[in-house]
Amino acid sequence: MLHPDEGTIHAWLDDQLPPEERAKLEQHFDQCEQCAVLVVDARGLVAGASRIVGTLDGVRSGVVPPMKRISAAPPTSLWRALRLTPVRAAIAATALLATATVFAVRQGGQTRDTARASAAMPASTPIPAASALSAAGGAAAPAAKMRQPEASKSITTRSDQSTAVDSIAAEVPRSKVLAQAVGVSRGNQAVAGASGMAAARSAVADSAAVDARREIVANARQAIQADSISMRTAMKAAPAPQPATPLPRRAFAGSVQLSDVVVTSMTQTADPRAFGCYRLDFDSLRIHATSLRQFGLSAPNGVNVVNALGNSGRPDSVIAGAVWRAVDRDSVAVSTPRSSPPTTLIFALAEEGHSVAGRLIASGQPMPVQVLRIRCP
Amino acid sequence: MNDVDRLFREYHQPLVRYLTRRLGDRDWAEEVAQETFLRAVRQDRIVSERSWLFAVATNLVRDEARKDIRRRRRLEVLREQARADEVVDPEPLSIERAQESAMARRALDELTERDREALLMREEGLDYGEIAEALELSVGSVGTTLARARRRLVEAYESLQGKRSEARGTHAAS
Repeated sequence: MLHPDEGTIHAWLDDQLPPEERAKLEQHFDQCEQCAVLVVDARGLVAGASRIVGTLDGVRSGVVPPMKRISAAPPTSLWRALRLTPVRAAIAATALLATATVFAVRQGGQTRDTARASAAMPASTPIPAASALSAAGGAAAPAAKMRQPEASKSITTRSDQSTAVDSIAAEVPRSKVLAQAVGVSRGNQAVAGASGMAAARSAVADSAAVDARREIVANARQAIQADSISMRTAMKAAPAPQPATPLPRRAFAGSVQLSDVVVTSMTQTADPRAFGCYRLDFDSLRIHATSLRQFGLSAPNGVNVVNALGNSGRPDSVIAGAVWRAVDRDSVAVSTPRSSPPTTLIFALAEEGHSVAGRLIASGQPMPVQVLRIRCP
Repeated sequence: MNDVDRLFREYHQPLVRYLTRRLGDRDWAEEVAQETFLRAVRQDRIVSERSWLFAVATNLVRDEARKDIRRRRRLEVLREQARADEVVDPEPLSIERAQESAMARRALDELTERDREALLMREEGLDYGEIAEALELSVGSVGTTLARARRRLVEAYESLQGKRSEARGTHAAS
């Protein structure tokens, strides 16, 4: 047998030779010292090249914090902790104001009465103010005596509460922004809070959040009405996961990790819910911090699968700078520049039996995307 | 589980790794991988999945690399990444590792495109038949291609290492 060339030796080392050729080669290597040296050399090259290539994996990526760093439990808002609603808070604040006013008026009166009584008493016989009041006030005095410490106590408590109410007032937009950031809808609010929460919280101070808050108010009504379904549940009609149960990533119904392309299931179902309009809510706070985003929608069997409806739902609406790019005859990819990231994309599936396949990528990290089924505009 | 789901689960990670090694840019790699899978979704029938995916991804890289717009966009991404890095640095590399990675990148860049792609595909576990199909080579020539690629890579890397050691020695002496 002739000496094998270097390529054949590498093919042998890579276990890519047919059995017969391999057997012959091994027999030759046993007898040929020259080739044995070449084999050792080639083995070193295979290992060395592999090691060098492996060092390329330390590529930095992503400004988006890894998902694992984000707390699984949504932070408890003061709203919830105090079981307050805006109406209750308003009532409490009004009551507080009224009480404080009454107290202030009373306190002023008492001070004047006390001063008057003190002036009437000899300086050598100090009498507690309450006693003086009792003496001066007659039958009404015990009630006043009782009322005063109660009022003080009440003031202390309500003062704390007032502070809490102030905090809550500040907390309102924050909690709503957080809800928006993870695409929380009424149907799956308990589930959807985990992803993006930490990032959203840290970014609340950002001035961009102010605009998001305004937008949230406008969207809230629509979000409540929306038939909130994840793509997975839409396709497979799976029961909603229990909020209290730690959920594996792919079973997370509230926020679809499109990186898994779990969303293609529309293709396979005759579920009438698959047809219609959908709204994709992006994590607006995180998307501001990323450099690249693209979302793809596709269907294997049809044309005109997606009507791009921009971000307001009107057929003529556009997202500044966004490109709804036809990848080919039945799919579209949405690309947007960093300068004007949309927080919402609305699209309509034009025909039944289509799929939505794609993922949102930002700086190499998959982004959580909330899919809400909405009434078609 | 449907086909696309399975395809993605099986091949997304190796494809992105291949592309990242090939391009040195994770964002770009993710984007190309996404495009590749979108095409796979619409493909009626794929005979050899892995070679098909790697071939499409490789062709996408080649096509994109020819476009000036890509360069501009990449610059923009890099600029923004640099800006963002000031805020978050999720996995800081040690200096030593970063230098090794940079040397590996430079060594890899010294290979011809075909050698580089063949090598990186092999590192992702593609067999010779799949590499041949993806790169439109004959199966018989894959071994030779890989042998050449490995040798050149190792030699280039060692050369760079030698230069670095010399530079260190000079620096220490002064």
